[in-house]
Amino acid sequence: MKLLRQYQMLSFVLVFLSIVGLCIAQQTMGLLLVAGALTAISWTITEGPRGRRLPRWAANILVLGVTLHALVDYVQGSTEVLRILGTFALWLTIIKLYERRTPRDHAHLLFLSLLVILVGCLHSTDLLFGVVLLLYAGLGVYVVLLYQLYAAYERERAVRAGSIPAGYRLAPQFKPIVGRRVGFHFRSLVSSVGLVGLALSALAFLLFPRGVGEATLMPFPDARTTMRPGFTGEVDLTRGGRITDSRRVVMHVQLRDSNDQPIRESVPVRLRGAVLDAYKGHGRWERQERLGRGESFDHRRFTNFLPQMPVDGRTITQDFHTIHENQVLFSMYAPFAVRAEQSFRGRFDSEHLAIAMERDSRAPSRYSVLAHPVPTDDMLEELSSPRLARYAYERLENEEIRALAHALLENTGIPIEPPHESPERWQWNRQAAGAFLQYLHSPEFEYTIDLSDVTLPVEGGRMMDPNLFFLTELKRGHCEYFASAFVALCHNVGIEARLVTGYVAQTYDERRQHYAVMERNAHAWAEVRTGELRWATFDPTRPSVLEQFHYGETGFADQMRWLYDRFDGLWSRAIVTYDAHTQTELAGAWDDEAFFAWLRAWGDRIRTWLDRVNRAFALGPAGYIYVVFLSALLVFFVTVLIGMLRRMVKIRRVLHLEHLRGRAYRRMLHQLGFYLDMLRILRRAGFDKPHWRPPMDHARHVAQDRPEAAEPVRTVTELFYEARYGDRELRGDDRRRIDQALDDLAAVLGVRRGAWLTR
Amino acid sequence: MKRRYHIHWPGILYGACVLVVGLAAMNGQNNLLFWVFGVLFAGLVISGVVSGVMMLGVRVRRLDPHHGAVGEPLLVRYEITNRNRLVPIFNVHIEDRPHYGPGAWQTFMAPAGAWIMHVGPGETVHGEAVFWPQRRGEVQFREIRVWTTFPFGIIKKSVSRIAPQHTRIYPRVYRLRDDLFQLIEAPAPLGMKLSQRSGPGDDYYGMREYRDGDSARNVAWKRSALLDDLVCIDRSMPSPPRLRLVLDLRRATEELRVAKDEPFSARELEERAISLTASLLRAAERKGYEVGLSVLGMDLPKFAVRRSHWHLGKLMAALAGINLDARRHAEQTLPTIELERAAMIVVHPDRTELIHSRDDVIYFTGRQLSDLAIGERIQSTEFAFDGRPQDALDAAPVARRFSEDAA
Repeated sequence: MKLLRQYQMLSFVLVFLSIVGLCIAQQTMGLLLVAGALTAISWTITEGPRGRRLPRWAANILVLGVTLHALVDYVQGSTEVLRILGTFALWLTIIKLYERRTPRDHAHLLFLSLLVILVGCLHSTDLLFGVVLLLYAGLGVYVVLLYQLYAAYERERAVRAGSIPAGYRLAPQFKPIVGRRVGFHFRSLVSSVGLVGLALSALAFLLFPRGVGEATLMPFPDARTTMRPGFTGEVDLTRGGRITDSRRVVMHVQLRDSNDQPIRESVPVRLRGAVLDAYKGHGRWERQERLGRGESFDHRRFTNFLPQMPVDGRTITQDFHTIHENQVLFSMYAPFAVRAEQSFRGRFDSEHLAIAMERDSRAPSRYSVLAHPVPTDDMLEELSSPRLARYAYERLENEEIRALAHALLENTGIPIEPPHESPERWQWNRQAAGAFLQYLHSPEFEYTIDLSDVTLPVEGGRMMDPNLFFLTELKRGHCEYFASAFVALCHNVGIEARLVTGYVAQTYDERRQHYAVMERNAHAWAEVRTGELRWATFDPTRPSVLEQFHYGETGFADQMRWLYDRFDGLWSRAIVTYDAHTQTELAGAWDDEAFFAWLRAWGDRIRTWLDRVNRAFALGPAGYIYVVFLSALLVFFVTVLIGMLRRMVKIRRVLHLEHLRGRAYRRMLHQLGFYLDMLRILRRAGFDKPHWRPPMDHARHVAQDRPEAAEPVRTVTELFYEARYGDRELRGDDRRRIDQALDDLAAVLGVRRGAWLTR
Repeated sequence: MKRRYHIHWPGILYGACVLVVGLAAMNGQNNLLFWVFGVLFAGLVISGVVSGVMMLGVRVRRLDPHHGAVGEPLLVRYEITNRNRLVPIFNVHIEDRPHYGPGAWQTFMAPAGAWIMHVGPGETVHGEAVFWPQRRGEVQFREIRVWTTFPFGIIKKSVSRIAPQHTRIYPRVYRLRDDLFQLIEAPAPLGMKLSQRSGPGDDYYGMREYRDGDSARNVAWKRSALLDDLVCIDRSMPSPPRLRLVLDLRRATEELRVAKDEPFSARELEERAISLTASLLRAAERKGYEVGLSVLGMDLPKFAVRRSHWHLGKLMAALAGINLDARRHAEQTLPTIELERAAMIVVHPDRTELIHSRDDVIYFTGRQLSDLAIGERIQSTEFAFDGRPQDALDAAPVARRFSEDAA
């Protein structure tokens, strides 16, 4: 049977999908290739014309081997228990694919594939995995329903065969008993079950309480941490390669002024993450490990680093909603208070004015930071560490870079030796940094995100410093190269400078009134000391290049990628980051007032659309009437069309015209509707025609009970026979006769004939 | 109609699985797991609703079951109607529920069920269950149950209906040795060969005038020449040989003469005698005999010697209905049957006893069944119902499956 034969193939596809899903979730291309190939081959080997199955003993040995391997992995101290579990389930599934398969084995296989995909869920929240998961769920419903039929058929067949006494050869053959249109009914049922299941699961997803019982059993790794955020807490220029230009949204930031109103800055917002002032050589920048003492931050109120709140009204509240976990809290310059959704342990770095997480603490996904964009000296004094006066940093020193820096200063007329007095010194710092900035902004340097073709040269057995290589030979690179080179130039002339990594938020969502920060917004720039406690931002990357990189779209591939990233953002926003806060917001939005506001908004939209149409066609004041009339006409035509289609489907089904084709089929559809009208009238009068009774028999049956209806029924039935089987084309007078007979029949039986659309 | 939901192992396992996923989702606050939990939970709800809606429109009846025979399949057909106008029914199992009244079917045969894969909205289909009866007798059916676990196999929903019906299981019929009837034909008078009616036989019946369509072979040429008109020979109606079978059950089971070391019990010998009688009836009918039956010692009428399929069914039904636990009439004698002019075979369960003054009567005993039957080996356990009343036979082995189901 066709429906049952589908099962083997579809269950195989389902299992294959789960294996692919796990490999995508674990991001292991090698495993995908090996496991995918073994899975694909299993179909040919086991289901081919000379299908061979793995004997049970061999399968048991393999299972034992896989189990031992998993145990050894675990005992060896691998912390990735989920990865071990996933791989273990995957290999069990593959072994099962090669085994002999009874209905029970098929059930095991389906369960294993579910386990594999569940482990995938624990590993990843990637959009691609999400797509695989959706496909798996959809196909899974179909396969599970089909499995019920397949397993029941196989079991019944086995029971029937087992009950036949040995040697008895006349036992009745076992065949599945089905009614008509089994395939159509099955597919319809699966679609309905799938849609209802989707709706119910969405409801359960929305309503299940979030934030309850977290980590009560065991700490699970957060699947969100596997995402590549674009931002890194340290810089390594030797890595080369290509940096991400993905539009995947990594966080949303809303800025609010002191009146709690959302604001949009006129310039890109720099969100500082890590401040790197320790050069470890070979192009590596790290944070100094001498930050302030760790403390617990309360989630109920702001932890203020100032003795009292600033009162000048320029305080900005930044509400962050991050999609991936970080070890730092981002903020504009200069942060002075923080509050998170849950309590956490972190530290305020008073030298760098940044907030970092303790290593054992989990970063909050939602937090708010208060910042003052133009802090006063008093404020900075209260925020900053007293040690800043003796600010110590691991300088980047290189003779050749120093020579270059001196040359640049000489060219711009700035003295090489810095002044000793403070105000002049800070002024000199600013001027010198400006000269370096100008040099790096020159067309001599080219911005690129792809450095995969670059190899650092080796001189005298030592690798050349990447900063020197960039400044003297390469002269192309991405923001980290520019920022690092700038800081290198500063350090070599005695300017205190540091490298800052974070994001530059530019994309503003007008509807939600927040910034959408994407992976490609990750950026590196520099800060130069321009006062006792003050640092100024210098971005050596050309602003035009930066803008072009952040907004520019060129080819078709970029467009596709843009589309993918949009979906990715939507997926992240709606699914991955849905939490208790969003749940509360949603519940708050769902009140009567909001509903009516939504209705009003739609009313306004329709009115605006009508206005637009009216203006476009210059219809004048009567235009609204025309548009409404046309819309009503359209609705009417659509309704009529649906009615006609329904009637055609019904004629085809009731009169069994499925086997007809071409002109004959069209003629029957066009002509034979009248018989359905008669059946409907008879049904209303209590004469329902069973499927098995021929039309003429039914006419006789009616005539027997209601002799007064005999004549119209006979007339219509005879004409039906002539049209259906006699190849007769009904003409005008025939139609009139039929119409009259149907009217008579309805009158005689005392029932309503019904409007055409309701037939 | 009785409707109920059953909890079974797959459902419990599924519930546990949903619980584990829910806990894992809560523990890890993983949104994909929350969604998977939602899907699994939706599966639970949908399973209950869909199977409930499907079963709401089900109407089932057992079609009058035809008789069966021991060792042959007994087809019990069920008619199932889906009165729902929208929802089709899938994966429906139909079975007869065991009961504990007299003639409970489960004491005769192992349980079997019908499986129907699909019934469309408003459709009626027929399914069949194949039973393999293990002993003869009158079988009583009582309650039909229709159940499904569709769509996800989590929840089992059933509908039961009381529909009493009965049928008879004929005794097992063996193929007997071909030379058996030569014994009968040689010494015994096989009845009058000439019939009182004309027919398509070979013997001469008389002369008549030629009619259109008569074969030229039948024309009596000499007579025609004498009469100067065509006359034909009319043939007589063929008269088949006649046989009366007598099953002697006058002696009560406990009075049968069975040695202690004998492999057969007394009740077993009686069953073998009944089976041998049925086999002789069937073999004689196949050979073209007209057959009659007398069962001595039981309240059964004497069946006249006839030949038709219907008549044979009547005789087999009589043998099927013999209740060996009923009181025997030891005083019953064979009525006068000389006028039948039929050969006679008498079957005793244990030992031969002369019951008629005729010397051409052939005697068999139940013990001889193994020698007379050919083609298949008779299992020693086939008639192992000794010592227990039929109505109280232990139904435990065959009813085990039902009790497992009910659990």
